[in-house]
Amino acid sequence: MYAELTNVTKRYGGEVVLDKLNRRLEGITVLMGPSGRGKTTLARLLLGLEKPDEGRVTVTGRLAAVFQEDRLCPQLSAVANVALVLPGRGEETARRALEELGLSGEDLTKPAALLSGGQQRRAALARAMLAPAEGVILDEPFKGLDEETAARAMAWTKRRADGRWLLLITHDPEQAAWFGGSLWRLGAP
Amino acid sequence: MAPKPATARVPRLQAAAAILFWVAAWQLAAFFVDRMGLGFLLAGPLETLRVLAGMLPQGAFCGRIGFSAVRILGGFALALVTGCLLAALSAALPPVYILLRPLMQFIKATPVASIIILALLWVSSANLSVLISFLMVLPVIYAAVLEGIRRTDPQLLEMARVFRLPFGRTLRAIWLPGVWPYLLQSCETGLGLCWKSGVAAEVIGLAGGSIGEALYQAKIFLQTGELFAWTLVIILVSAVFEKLALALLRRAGRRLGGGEPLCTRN
Repeated sequence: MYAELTNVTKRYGGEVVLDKLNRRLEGITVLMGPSGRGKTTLARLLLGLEKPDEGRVTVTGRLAAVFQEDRLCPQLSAVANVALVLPGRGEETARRALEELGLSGEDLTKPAALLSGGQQRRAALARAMLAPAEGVILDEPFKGLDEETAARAMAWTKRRADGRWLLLITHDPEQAAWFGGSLWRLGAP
Repeated sequence: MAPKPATARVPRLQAAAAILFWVAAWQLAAFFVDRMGLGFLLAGPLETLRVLAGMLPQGAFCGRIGFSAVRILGGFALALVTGCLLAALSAALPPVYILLRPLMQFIKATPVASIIILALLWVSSANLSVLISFLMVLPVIYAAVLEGIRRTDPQLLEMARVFRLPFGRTLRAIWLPGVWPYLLQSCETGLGLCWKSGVAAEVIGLAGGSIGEALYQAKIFLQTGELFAWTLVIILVSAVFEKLALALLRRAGRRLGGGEPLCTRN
């Protein structure tokens, strides 16, 4: 399973954000680069939420994602948000994953709108990593987490990658080094 | 998000005192009008309650309420279903929206009396209130549901698209919570509107066995007490049905939201 960008160009107005990108994504890829250089645009192209102005984006299989925003259904619990993307009922699987990420007790069952930013982020991460998908795009998935919680979430994410291709977008060189894989610097001067 | 109206919450005691004040003013006005020998122009609250108490044991009293309620609420239910379906279609298909826009504006702008008189040519007077309450409520429900659909969080819809959520799950987790507060508000408005317009239709159409007919007869025979008693009945029945319907909708909302209220809007 892979994703491939062939001569991909994307413009907003007259400004070229991505210019003739060519890359095949397999295994773990860490995408780094200054703000405003098209990292999130690239993620949106891969997710099929936008179309390139030129070139081709090929994605095999289904995708899952942690977006820049958590995008949880605010009235549903963390468990229900994760189970929403799982086949069947999936509550038990969701509960176990969230517990592994450090959520417990009533944090699992109260509406997502009432969770802290870090708890919401971890619920969004669990949803992406548990979804039946062949590729996962993680746009700054550990932002807002304290050091210890982030380390735990990173280890959990790597374990859950399960041979799928994974694109991690981050500004943190330590996270990039820890994940290993292939490093892709976008728009570096 | 529509801003909340700037009405302050009034403590219950003060609200009750205000109602008492106006009831007392009403009684006083009725007393003076009666002293002037014009009692037939205004029945006081005590007279209204006395007449109402006399009407209660009569079988026709409940019969009239049942007759009107079935038809008026039937029209409301039809408008609710049709309004939701048309709003969903309009949101999904722009040509449907363009086509329906002038029709909804026409219904909203046309005086209810004109519609009633015109509708009398098409339907029997007995069923006129079904059509009229349907027509009065339809644009309200349609506009509110369409607004709710349009204001549903686009980021959540993108999430559903990426994760390929089945339609049923998307409907339940994203669309319904987005639309629900708008639907509740429009139902609240629509329930008041359907009773007002429905009874007006019964009065003009003289639907036999209806509340509207009783109201008309009371006016014809200058039975002001009956007129006020039936008006009070309409207000009470409308309020009871509004509370009941909204309680049912809120309960349905809680079930759909997995135990939590569906409303995500303040």
